[in-house]
Amino acid sequence: MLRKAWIMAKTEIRMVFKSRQVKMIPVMIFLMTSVFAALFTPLMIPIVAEVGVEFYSIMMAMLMGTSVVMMPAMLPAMIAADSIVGEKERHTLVPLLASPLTDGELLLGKLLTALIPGIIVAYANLVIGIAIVNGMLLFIAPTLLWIWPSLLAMVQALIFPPLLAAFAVCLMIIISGRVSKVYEAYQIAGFVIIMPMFLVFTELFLSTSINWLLLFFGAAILGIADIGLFQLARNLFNRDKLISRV
Amino acid sequence: MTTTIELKGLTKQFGEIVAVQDVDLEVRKGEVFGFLGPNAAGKSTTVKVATTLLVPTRGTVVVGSHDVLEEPESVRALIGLLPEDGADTHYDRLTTVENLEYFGRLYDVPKETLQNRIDELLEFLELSDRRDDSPGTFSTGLKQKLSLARALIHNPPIVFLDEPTSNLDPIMSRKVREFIQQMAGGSKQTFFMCTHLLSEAEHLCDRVGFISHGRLVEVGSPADLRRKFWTQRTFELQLATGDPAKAKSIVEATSLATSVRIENKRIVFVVEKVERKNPQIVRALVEAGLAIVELRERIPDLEDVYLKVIGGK
Ligand SMILES: Nc1ncnc2c1ncn2[C@@H]1O[C@H](COP(=O)(O)OP(=O)(O)OP(=O)(O)O)[C@@H](O)[C@H]1O
Ligand SMILES: [Mg+2]
Repeated sequence: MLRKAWIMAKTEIRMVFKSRQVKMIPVMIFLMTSVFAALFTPLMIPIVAEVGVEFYSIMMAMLMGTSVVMMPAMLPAMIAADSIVGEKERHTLVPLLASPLTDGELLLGKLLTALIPGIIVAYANLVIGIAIVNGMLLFIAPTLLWIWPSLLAMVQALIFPPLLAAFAVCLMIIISGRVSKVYEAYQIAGFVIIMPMFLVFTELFLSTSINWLLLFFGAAILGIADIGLFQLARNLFNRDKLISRV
Repeated sequence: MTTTIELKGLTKQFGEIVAVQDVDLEVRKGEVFGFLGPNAAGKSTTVKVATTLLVPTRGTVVVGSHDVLEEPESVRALIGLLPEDGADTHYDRLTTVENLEYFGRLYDVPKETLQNRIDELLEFLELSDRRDDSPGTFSTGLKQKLSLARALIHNPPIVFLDEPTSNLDPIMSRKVREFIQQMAGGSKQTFFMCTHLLSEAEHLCDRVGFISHGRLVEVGSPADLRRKFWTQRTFELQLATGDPAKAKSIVEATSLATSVRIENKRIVFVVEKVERKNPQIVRALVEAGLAIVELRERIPDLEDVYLKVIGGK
């Protein structure tokens, strides 16, 4: 299943990144992280004396977390929004559906197409964030160096973006197969899916009460949800409906 | 001969619309089968069901001994498809070669074979000089050629072509027809093609089926269908000089022809039992002093069959 999906993903990723809009998304994400880092690192320093180093660390984790854990799910969600309805709009879906791909291979191909660039961008984004925060601390408050990311924040920023992106992607693939125009899928991606998902997630996992146990359960639940959602996408995938619905 | 495509009681509905109704059809291995019929008759729908894109509402479809519902992947691995409006179905963000490579890999064509196959097809279809261009920059005919190359990239034993020569110029159309004929003859590939070009079907297809309003109305070889619909034969006769009306009345006077009429100064008559009657008719004309330049049979073509089968409905 993986081999065919990989053939698909390799070709599709190349095509996806020929679009200027898609290329802009990582740039925006990097820019956002840079601005967050450059703004909050010095802004928070004066309050360290009052609230203590501990609190500074938590505040940085929350603020930077939004941009290194949440934002990277944007790109995969956007790519996935286009995945099926985009091919339908560009009339390339029929030959693909007529090829020997199984439903699982086709959907996994679409999933990888959206996920792989997302993970690369997420990790690059994390590196950028860490470099700017600690680069600034080195000059303005060397005693606070490596206060962010803590080990917990680091693990969080490594495991959650892929899990979160996979969730957004599976959801968007399902939606992409059920709308009839690409822009509808984008609208749903932007407002209906990503925003609420971000809010709920921010509440739960970037809050001050985050600890290892919560992190572990969060990751496990999200992982199970990913698998469940992928299975759902597979069960809902229906060539006849895709072809006959206008 | 073994059956490669078998439709049994195939019905496909889209809500209230019955696109295909109770179609029973067998296509044999190595055959070029032509599917003919007016717009909206159900040709493309039949192809879509046979290629696993649509699910039959009722009935069964077996392609290469695999049921389309039970083993769709096995069916898809055996077939090539040039879809309806195939010209528009390419990835504009890939080059011509990349489009073909992509599908070649999806069909598991080994790497070395794939390159040769691509070169061969592009050469044959006269697309070699555009191999690194995006199909987005192509004329409709060039895109159609690329669709054909894609349908054949994996050398499939069963090929479905939905109006393959639409948008192709006459010379390329003929080349493609010859190619199909060669493939069907030599390597025993089976072709199922929809077409509106009756002369194409006549020259290319071993058998044709006529579908109208979702129902299969006639199946047979072009020659068989002609024989079936034409028990009488039509002749036309041209005079060097003299009055066609006079000739007409002479033929009528013999009472040998079923009907006589004048078309463009030619006398057109219909007879049965030609061997006995034609010499008598000719003798009567010659004895009346008329000079005959030409006497020839009007052989009905597939278009006449079509008009009779479809037009009569
Ligand atoms: N997705 C669909 N939804 C509803 N009706 C459809 C759909 N696809 C086809 N039909 C209807 O089914 C009937 C058969 O259509 P089909 O495309 O098979 O015709 P066709 O014989 O290929 O015609 P043409 O020569 O114009 O290509 C038509 O009445 C058409 O409107
Ligand atoms: Mg059609």
